[in-house]
Amino acid sequence: MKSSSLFFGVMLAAMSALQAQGLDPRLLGQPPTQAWPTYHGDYSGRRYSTLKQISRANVKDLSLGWVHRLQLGTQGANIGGEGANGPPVDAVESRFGRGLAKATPLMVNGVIYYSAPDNVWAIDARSGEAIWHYFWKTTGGIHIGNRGVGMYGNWLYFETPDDFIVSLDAATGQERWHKKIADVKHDYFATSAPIVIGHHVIVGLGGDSGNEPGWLEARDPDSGEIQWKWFTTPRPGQPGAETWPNAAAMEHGGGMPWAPQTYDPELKLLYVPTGNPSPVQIGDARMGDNLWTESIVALDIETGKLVWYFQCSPHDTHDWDASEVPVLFDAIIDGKPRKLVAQASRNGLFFVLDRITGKALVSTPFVASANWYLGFDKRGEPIPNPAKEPQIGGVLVSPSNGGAANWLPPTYSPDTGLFYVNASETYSLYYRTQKDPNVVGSGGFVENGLGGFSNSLRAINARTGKIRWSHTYAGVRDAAARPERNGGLMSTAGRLVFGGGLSSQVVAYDDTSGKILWHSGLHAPMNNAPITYLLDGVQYVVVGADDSLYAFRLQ
Amino acid sequence: MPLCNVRRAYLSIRLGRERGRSHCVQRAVHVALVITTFAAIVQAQAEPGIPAADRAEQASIGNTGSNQAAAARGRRLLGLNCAFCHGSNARGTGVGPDLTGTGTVQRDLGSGIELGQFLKSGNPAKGMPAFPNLTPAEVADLARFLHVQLLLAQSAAPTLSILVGDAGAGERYFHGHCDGCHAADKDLHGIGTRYNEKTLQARIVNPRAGGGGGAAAPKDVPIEATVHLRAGPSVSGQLLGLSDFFVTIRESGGARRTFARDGRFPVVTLNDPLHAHFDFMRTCSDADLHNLTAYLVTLK
Repeated sequence: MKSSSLFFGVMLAAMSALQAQGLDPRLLGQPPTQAWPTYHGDYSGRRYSTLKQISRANVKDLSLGWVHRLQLGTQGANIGGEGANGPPVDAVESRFGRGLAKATPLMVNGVIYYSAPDNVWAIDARSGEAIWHYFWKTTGGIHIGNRGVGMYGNWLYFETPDDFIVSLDAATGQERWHKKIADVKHDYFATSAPIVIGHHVIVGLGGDSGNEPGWLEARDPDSGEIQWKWFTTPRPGQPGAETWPNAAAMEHGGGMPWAPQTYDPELKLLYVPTGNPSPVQIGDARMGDNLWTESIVALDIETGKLVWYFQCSPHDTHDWDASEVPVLFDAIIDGKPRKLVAQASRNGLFFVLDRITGKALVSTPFVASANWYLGFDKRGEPIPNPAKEPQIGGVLVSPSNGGAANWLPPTYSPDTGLFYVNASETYSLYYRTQKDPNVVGSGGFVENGLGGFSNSLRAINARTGKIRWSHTYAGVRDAAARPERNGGLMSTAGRLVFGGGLSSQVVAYDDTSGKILWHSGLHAPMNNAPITYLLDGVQYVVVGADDSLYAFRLQ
Repeated sequence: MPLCNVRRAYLSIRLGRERGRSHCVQRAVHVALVITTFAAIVQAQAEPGIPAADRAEQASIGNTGSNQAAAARGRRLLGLNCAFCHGSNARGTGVGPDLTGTGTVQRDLGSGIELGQFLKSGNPAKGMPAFPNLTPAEVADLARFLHVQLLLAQSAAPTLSILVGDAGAGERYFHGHCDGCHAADKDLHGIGTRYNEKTLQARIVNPRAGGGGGAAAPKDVPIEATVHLRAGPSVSGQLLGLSDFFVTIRESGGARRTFARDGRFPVVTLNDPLHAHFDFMRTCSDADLHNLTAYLVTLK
């Protein structure tokens, strides 16, 4: 009797523990506090937390809670994947000099879910101890990074460099199923964090080495089957086809949506940033604006149908994906409450759009060096200067290929109304190396990076685009490095902005003045954006650097 | 037209080979087969029905037994390790150079020997990480693939000259803008023979810029830093490193000193002898740059 009641008690505890692993879907629409349940914390892309236990008054007392070094290799891991003889694991590991920890962690019910190419881990969010590890035997593909996992109830989703989406049991790390998104032999690779919205898993795709079609798809979280597919370029006869010279160019025109999306639950619109057209730098074979490459597009979440678009770089020839986060925020403009979306785009321009209609309210540079455009048209879209396309003699263009900003997330604080972004002012010489317009991918093109002036943290008035303040990161040797070197950002109701910058440090800034209030050394530069969560009444801040996660808290 | 391409490419490679080192007939046949495939690819570019990656793969792998398998494995390794920076066909991206233009790949001749040596340590100063864990067999496969890419690159159209400027206009610009620090018969004597055209043009804008495409990294020009301590005299030396939180200098006596900073203090002032180049970067026109390059290459 006693033993059976004990058994029953254990069973109950086990069942509640299993249930406790699951994600309550209501958390997904909320500002992140008890959990960080989706890539941006919530759907808005603001990366703002209402937590204020850590504040500008006490942030100087923030100290290290734990460090977790990501375990690589197959030992002790659940193994999946279609690679026949397993991957050359060492080859994948050797990439880590560039920084493995690019993903944003999820934190749900005391467990952190983290990912890197071919790897997913569960980590105790209180202690930093490993819980399980899943390893995917790859069949190839570019292993540049993985942005994170998505979660639905008890299930996790992640994308692989060889173009599969894999679903795992969050409690055990066992694979439920995997589905092929695209063919790795056609130079596709997948890095995006799946975004789970209602009964949809939104799956992005990348790759511009070939001239291939791009698309975004929604999949069923239970079965993994495709619910809808949205192609990033039109097909003959569709609206937008007039921005391409012929069917072949538009069908092979790229525009890969490789970065995670944002979403407005009231409007039921998904905001998708799209990537560069193909061929990448030599645009002769794709004359026209090349819709919907390098655009912010709003899609109906249930059907995947296009509702509106805004093109950040018409007919781009510099590989400036518009893949930066479309950040959703609300503000009063001319006395009226407005639903807005803002992006600090890779091409150096800051856009604020009405997110119901897509109409531009603000189009303005956020770096002074941007020299590739002639002005803005009546839609607020930039007019590219043909003289700044790659030329045989070389042209000096800012930004360089890395961009004035890149995929690393910015943050918006409703407390200040400021949009914070890490900016790079860089130049490159862009050369065209052949006259023949028929090129594949980046063919016919060479870039010679020249560095530039500065990397800086910029606080932009989100309603006007005017820069309120700018903190230039000190540095000379690598001044004006690619924006990835700056890390991502997060803001909190503690009136703080957390970030990295060029140094191997995590830094807390006053959200109003930009003053540095606290910093702590890491063993490598921050590669991702910080998250925060409250557990047992304690607020944590977690950042990733190279192959490790660091958790900070007040002691 | 494709046949002409085949013949021209085949001949150019045969001639190149014969001037270089002797090759067996089998190798020549292999090259011819690769080039034949390449010509077919050139023709297929106009056919939108064939996916580009299939064309690229056919082109890169060629069609003989063991070489094909090795190059296919090499292509996969390239995808895993190199492609994001150097492209899936190794021909470069905005991040990394065209590998077929690098001395390492050109000297390696598909053997894997020189490539393997290079990959052990990489070139971290230029952002090229080390790949010490690749096995010799993997390096050999990678070398095989890169060599096929090199043959394809060499069979393509000759490189276009970047010299589009007016040397006379460049000389006029030089006098009045550059001759405060430079003289054609002194420090710039022979500059046109020391760097290739692209490197020279890059160094006009930023003399610390690497040449890319395998060019040697230029010698750095030291920056003088003065650290203004809150208490006591200022300290000066050659700048070794600077961030919001640290500054490191080498004093004239050789001592290396690091000072902690809090984002603003102690204030560090820099004297960069190259500052005029950075001003030029902000303001120069492409025409000025092209003209200057055209002038400087004449300084033999």
